[in-house]
Amino acid sequence: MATDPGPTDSGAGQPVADGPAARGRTAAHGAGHVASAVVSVRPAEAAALAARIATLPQTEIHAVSGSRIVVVMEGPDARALADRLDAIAALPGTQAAALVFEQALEPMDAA
Amino acid sequence: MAGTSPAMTDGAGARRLTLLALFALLLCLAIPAHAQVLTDTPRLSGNTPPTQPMKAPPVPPMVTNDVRQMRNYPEQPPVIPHAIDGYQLTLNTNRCLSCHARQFTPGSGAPMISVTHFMDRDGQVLIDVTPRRYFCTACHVPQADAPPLVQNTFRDSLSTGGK
Amino acid sequence: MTLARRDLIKAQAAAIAAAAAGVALPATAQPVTGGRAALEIKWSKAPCRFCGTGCGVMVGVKDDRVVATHGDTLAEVNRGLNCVKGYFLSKIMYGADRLTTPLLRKRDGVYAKDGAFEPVSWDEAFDVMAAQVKRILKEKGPTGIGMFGSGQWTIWEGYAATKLMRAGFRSNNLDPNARHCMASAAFAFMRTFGMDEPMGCYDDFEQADAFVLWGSNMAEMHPILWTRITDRRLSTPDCKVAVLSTFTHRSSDLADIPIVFKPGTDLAILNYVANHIITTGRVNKAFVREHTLFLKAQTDIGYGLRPDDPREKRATGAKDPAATTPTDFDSYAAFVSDYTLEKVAALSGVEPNQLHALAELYADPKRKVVSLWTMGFNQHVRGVWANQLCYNLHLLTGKISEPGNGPFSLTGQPSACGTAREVGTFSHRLPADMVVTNPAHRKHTEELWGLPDGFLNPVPGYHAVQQDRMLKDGKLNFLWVQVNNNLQAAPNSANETWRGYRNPDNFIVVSDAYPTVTAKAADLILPSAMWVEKEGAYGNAERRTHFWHQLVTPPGEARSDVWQLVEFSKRFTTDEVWPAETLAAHPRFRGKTLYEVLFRNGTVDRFPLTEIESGYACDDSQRLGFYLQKGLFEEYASFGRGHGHDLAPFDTYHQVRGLRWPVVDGKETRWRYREEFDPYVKPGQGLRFYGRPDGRAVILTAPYEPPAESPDAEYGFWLVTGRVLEHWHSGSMTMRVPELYRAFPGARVFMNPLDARRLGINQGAEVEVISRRGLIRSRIEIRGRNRMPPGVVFVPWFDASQLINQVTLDATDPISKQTDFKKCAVKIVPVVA
Repeated sequence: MATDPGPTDSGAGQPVADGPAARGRTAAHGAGHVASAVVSVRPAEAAALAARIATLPQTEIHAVSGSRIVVVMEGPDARALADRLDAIAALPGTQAAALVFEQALEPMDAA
Repeated sequence: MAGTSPAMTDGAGARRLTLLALFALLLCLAIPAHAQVLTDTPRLSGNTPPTQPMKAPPVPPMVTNDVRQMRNYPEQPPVIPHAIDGYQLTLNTNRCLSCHARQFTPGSGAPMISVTHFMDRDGQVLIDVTPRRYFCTACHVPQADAPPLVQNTFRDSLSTGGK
Repeated sequence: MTLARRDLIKAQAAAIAAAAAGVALPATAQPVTGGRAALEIKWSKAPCRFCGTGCGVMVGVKDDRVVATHGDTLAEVNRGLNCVKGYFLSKIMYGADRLTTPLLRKRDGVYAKDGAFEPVSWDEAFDVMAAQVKRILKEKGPTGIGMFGSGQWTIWEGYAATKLMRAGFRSNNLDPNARHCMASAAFAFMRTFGMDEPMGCYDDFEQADAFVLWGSNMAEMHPILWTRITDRRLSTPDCKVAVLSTFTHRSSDLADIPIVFKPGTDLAILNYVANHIITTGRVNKAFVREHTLFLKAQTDIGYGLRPDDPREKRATGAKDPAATTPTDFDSYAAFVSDYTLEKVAALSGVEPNQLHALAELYADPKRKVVSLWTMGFNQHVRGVWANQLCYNLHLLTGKISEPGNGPFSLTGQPSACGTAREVGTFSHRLPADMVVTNPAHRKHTEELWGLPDGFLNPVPGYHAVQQDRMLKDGKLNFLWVQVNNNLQAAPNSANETWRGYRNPDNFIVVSDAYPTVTAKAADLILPSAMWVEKEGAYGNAERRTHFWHQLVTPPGEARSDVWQLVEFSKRFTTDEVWPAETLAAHPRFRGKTLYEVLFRNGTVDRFPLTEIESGYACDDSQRLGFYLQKGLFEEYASFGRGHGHDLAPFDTYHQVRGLRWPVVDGKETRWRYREEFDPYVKPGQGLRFYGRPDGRAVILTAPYEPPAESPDAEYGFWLVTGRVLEHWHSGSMTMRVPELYRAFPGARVFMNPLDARRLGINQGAEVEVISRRGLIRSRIEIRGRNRMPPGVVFVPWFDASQLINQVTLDATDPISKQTDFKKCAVKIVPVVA
């Protein structure tokens, strides 16, 4: 089980359903880590900044409330996630970006 | 559908991403429809052409790590994480129960058969496994250590909540 | 499973971050801490999608997805149990390669036989299809087009298909894959009782004292029925199980009397048992005198091969294989007296004491016996005889049509009975056991369908094997395949089926949910909705009709098969496809579309959408503007009501866990032909086989005759094909469920260890399985669940990369036209690495 490399070839050319499964599927090939972060922003800029963050690869917005944005990221390793968090922190309008949770996926989880 | 059928030789992951990208491109640019690439996993849809005999890959080994797998949903019979080659499961003997029967689990460390297995056809709870559940392999199967032939997009109900 | 796991971790990550920030997560991203509503699943009943057992399952739906299934505790068939396939039904619709749009072979933007598949709209697909049908009808007439359906069609799909083909196109070239599965059983029922389908039911399993399996591995193929027999055997002192097979398998593990016989010799064993009953004086003489008559079969009837085959030319009785002549008890007794214990033991290779123990189960008047069979009898060049010789045993002893006593023909597909047989989708049949060759039956059908007198075609069409031959020979030029995978299932497929499909003169349409080997050999692929993506009805092996609602939306442009059939009928007018003289005599049909004649005809369309049960969708009906399923079902039911096939009102079936027909005054019938249980037996008659005008059942005189092909010096092994527990039929659903795939990840050649050693082949080694027709490459299994006697190999057919039916022989029972997939000769050659 531990060596399951994920999907084979099929479904080629078929539209892939949107939604969590599709997101997970795309991410499944590279990711070994999942992390979440709270990004602090000025309330007036929260929506725009959330939209900007959402364009980053393997990055999802799970909540926007007042001055807080809850972000979930996936990536191949902890380093990649740290780099992405730095990139978010560097976005104009961001006041702070704090890592809250990080978990390395077991091979079974990632498969 | 994607351009002129990309050669499908690279790894599965890269292939999927390539196809997704090409599919997205197709949607964006409204390229006229082209040849559709269908599943080319021979175990699912045959060789090309199907009349051409093909090499039979070795039978993959069975999972024997004793690691219990999460169920897809609570009612799913758990799969067997060990080999059962040569197990006697006959009128006179049941090798599975010699570890999984309630009275043997302290010694074996194996999971006890579920309480549902004590209920007869009329829902009465018996002192031991009901005869209708005697042949374990009708529901519980070992697993080969092999990747699926095609992804299955079934979603766990815990993850579909509200989405 | 693994995707869900990742999503769970992400949800957890989001929840922790949200809590840290004091932010409430929107409902869309919350884990199930969102209160009870988030935990709720909508549960609805449905029959299982797989075999003919007809288990009830509960299907859990959340957010338009099936998220769980389990055995229905209220379903009488299975009372909460499922087999491993049934437990994984939740995942069969979610293979990532579902077909979601019609695909047409094209070159330079237009259809081309040698083109590559391109997505097209339904409109374009139907336009191209209709143009082909019109061209072929013009050139060849109704015999040039055909349809190959299935015992997996819902009842209304089969009914719409038979109506479209027979009443629309006047073609009887309609056959189901059930032809490969239980045609022999159906013919034997008609020949013996004058009515199709079993007299008893599964309730017999809790009441019998003995079970005899004749060529059936129920432990793997009907696992839930096997739980009932296991329950009875292990719970009841002196209950006995006999298992007859050509190799030892999981059902043998429960057997008190495990018998392995030489392929084809079951006929001789059956006659020996009859002989034993007679010579030991245990014939139920009163029963035989009052309820039976004796007929003698035509013999030397050939093997259903192509007519130029020497075996057909030699067969003196091949011209009229179904013929019978009257005889009597004494002649019959004299005939079977030749089948002595010693002679049959030698012929069959079975120990005499085992044969004697088997015969005693039937002969002992105190013992209630249920005989069960599936493909061992049915896929047999003398399959109709085998069925009938088994009926002989029950008729000689009177052990029939009462609780715990009776012959029971099992079925392989979920609606082999409900659709293929009862609806009448065979090339010679009409609904409710009627046939196209009978003028009275045609007239009755014409009246119910509102057709001109004498309109229906009286000539039976091409049966399954004949369809493939005629495609290859260029006489059948259009074939629409629905709900089956015939290029994987049909015998001798490389020489017949494949060449027929790829014959440049032919246009092949395949409706399926997945890209099967058959779909990929087609010219047009139509994406089908499956199982609970549509409203449906199946009929199981014990005459139980059961319904389900549409529970989820099919993916993309996938549509149900019944919608495809009905929608396609809009493309034709009577002026285009009906004879001019018919229209001249009946001008009221002029200018009408087939849709208007067959479906939008005041009968099928008489139920409004408001009658769909609240809380359930029905996409097909919404598209057409009337309750299609109800209209088709009620019109179909009018064939059988009052004729021994009574079905309950449509709405009833959505409320109950199925009912066994005939359903009279709201009550189902468990044992037919017996006054106590069957409302069609008149008071005072006691027992009456009312399917035949004389009220009697037939005891048939028929001999052992050898198979079409037996092993010889060059091809030294018998090849038996079949299924395994974890995969259903060609595997197109189960191979896409990762757990089922991993449980049996590819076909293997089951072989006796001594044979393997003799050939120098080790466990797991690669071999070629070669016959006179073709070859596959596979791997040797000498330790698995099937324990082969020397000289016999078994290969399952679910694996599309090992198309064992390129090896099998297209010999059929000459009466039923059902293929013998259990007996041909092969050689096994190690592949040198």
